Amino acid sequence: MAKKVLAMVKLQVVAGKANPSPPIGPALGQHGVNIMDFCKIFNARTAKDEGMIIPVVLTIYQDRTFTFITKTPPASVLLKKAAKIAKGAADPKRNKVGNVTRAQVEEIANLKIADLNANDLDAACKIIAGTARSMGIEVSK
Amino acid sequence: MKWIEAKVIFESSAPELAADLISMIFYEFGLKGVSLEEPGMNPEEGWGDNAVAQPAHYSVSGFFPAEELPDSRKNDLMEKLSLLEKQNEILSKVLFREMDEEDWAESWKEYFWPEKITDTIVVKPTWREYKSTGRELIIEIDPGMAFGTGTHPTTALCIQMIEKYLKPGDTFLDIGTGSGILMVAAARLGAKQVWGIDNDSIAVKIAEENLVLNKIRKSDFHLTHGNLIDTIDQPFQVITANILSEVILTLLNHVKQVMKEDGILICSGIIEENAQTVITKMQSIGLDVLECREKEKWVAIVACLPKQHLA
Repeated sequence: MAKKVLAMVKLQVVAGKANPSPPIGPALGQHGVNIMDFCKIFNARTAKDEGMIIPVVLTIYQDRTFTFITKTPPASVLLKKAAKIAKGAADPKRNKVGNVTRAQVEEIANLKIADLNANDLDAACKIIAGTARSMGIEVSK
Repeated sequence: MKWIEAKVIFESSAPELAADLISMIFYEFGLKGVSLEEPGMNPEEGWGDNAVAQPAHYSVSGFFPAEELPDSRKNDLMEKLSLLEKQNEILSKVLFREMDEEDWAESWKEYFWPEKITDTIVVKPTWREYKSTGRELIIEIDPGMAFGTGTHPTTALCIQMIEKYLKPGDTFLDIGTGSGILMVAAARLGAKQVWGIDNDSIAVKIAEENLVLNKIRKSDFHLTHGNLIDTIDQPFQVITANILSEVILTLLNHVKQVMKEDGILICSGIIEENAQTVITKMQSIGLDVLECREKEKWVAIVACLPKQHLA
């Protein structure tokens, strides 16, 4: 019989740099997962994207073993990278801090489509463009 | 050390986007990660009877060292959230909670028990009792913040390989020694001199504590702080490297300098899909691959430096 699940944990962690401090420590320690084991496996799997923020979903079983899947970086992180800016705008309605091209939005939408609640590329692009606007990043035609 | 969790509970018609924008606020405060809650997650395998309660709301939590979250910063956070409410219709509230570091650094220990790694070797956490049933060899370990509890497949594979290939009296080097568990195993299996190197000075300290704890004499081991083999100036009969594949590939460029004639190299920490790359690299530098062993999608590879390759 398949092992039953004790908890599911969602985190965002820097690829290749997981360590036992928060958010990993408190999120996993409370469920009895060996924190260093998770860090080592996560770092091994994400070494090629080192420095990027990676969402990860852990499934923790009743015997305290675990599996996890990693997802593509958050849209906001990819947009900042594309626009070459460090921060979003403090007041995105009035203040624009950068811009991305339609092609860059499409590229990000393509990467994120599996993780977004979107039926097709067009819908995914709309979500990404919406995120960009919320950050004060303009989408040029 | 005290930490403060800032938990932002939110409602939005587009929760993915909202979580992304809230996380971004934390990242712009310099945090390197967040934890998230989402109602209605359903694992394929089904929930167990003792499953933890499911969250009722969406939330994003950021964790700050207490001294890095003065009231001014709390206000700043709340201001940014109120802007998200105005502009993106994300309704939210923040809960602040103070927590001790001890709480989680220690909590997993409750679930770490003595484990038999091979027919004769048992790894026992220092905080557990274990009654030996005869000629077992017991390794005591307190990994602290270093890697290597012994029960992880990569470490267990290494111990199995050391047991198989190390002959009494051999010299031994562990590259990336972490908790020092492989040094202890080698010493207990009869290695004459055990050396270990790690690029983390905390690991070097923890390894020493574990060697002393296992009654390995100070004159029989040597620990050094450094990157890969850059502070190692002599060859060894048996070498282990339980690190990531990428690091092993770099190590292979220089490892022959520290291998003796007929010396054995045990590489572990390799995920299944990288095994072939490591094998190809080993062969390209003139090593003979003797054995690959797999456990739970991790692979350990054993290679030997044939005599004719020595200058």
